[in-house]
Amino acid sequence: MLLYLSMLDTEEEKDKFTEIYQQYQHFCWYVAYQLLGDGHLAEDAVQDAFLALTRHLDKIEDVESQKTRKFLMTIVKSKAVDILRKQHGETSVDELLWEPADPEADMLGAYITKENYNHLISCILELDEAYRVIFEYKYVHELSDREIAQILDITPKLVNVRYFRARKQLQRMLEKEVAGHAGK
Amino acid sequence: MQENKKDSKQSTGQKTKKELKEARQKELLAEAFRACMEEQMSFIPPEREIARMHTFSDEFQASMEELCRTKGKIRKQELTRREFVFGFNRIAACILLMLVVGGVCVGGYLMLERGIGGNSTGSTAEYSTEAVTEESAAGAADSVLPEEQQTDQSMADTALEKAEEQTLPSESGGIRMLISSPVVDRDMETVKVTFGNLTEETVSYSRNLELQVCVDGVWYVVPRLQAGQEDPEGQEEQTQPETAEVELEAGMAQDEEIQLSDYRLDYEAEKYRVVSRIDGRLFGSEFRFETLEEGLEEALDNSLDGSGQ
Repeated sequence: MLLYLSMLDTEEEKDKFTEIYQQYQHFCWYVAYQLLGDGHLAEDAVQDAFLALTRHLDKIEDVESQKTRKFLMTIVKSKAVDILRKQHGETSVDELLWEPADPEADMLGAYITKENYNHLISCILELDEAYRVIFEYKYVHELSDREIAQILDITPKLVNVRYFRARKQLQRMLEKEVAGHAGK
Repeated sequence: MQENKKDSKQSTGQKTKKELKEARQKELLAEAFRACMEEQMSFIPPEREIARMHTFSDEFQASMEELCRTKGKIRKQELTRREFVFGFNRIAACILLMLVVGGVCVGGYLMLERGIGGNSTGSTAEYSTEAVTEESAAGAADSVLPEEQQTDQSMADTALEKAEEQTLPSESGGIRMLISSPVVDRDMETVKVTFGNLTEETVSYSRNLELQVCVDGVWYVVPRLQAGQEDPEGQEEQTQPETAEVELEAGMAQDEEIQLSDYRLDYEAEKYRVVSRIDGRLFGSEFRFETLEEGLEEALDNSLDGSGQ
């Protein structure tokens, strides 16, 4: 009974969903298109993104806010990344075997300082979109591993693996950036 | 002592400092990513322009219309089938747990109610004190009731008399009186009692076994059913000689049986005991009837064993 009730959707939710779709459909498509370079694949990414959104409508308070716009952008980007992953044949199992998360080796914190802020910005802008989305989910939208896992349709463990890989990648980039700047 | 305090203060201070540092880093990262997202968004043209750039395919529009209509319900259900099954199992387990807990609570409440009823009002409970019933009818007359009457009970419409001895041994001085099973099936017709003589002398015991029931920690004698009340099978036992004494030689054991059909029983009673006099001393051996849950479990086990074979 409880489960049945939880599966029911209110009219209010449906209206909200339709409103979001009508307002952001083209925006979402454009974001996906930038990554995929294919109009039809971008449509697929948009569809996947809105499907994922149906399960997280509660995270959207104001449809027209910048926060909602950013949230949708991250979802669409992550769905586009998923499509790219599938195209390249990268599977979740491969990811898990490829690189286990090692929090001990994580030195990113040392580079996150106000002095390095500009370096950080340049590194983020160059960071692989697959890694960026994980950071965005975590830091901008403040979602838990479990919530991210639900959106990406992967396990929370894999979210954690991807997160540590993303941190490692950002750390490498920052190391280079800071060292290069010091050399000058 | 002071050094320890200082150390702990220092470690707490370091911990707080570390936490603060991490929080600052986190905030800085969030700010940087927000800024990058804003920059990325600044390059995205307005909706109208994108709409002119790209026309959605009919297939896409149809599926999105469907998604809007159902809010992705159908697809969502497909997607979350695993979660559904997991959730269903979890909820089923919760419901089962609630039912069990509810059953235990209700059972406990009813047992408590009976217990309280037996001691106080006696109006609704199975066990009720005759004395208290009289008390409620006659007001202050209870003070003049004999003590024995005040402590009597009734069980399954049968008046019970308090047992003369409350504490009885099942074994003493090499003489034993044991029930074959401490938990007896509700459908058992007899209870087997074994008398054992480990002394070096012959002892005698009475075959006139007495059944007693424990209600609220007090033992009462369960009377045999009167003629006409008993079950047909029980009539034979009723004719059993009351003063039959049996001699038990040293080192010997002898089984006796008590016919349960001779008594009106309450299977929910706390416990029962069979009492007999051995060499002039009273001995008692306790048992109880299995609870309904135990009976069901047993039946389930049996059926599972049966199906397993």
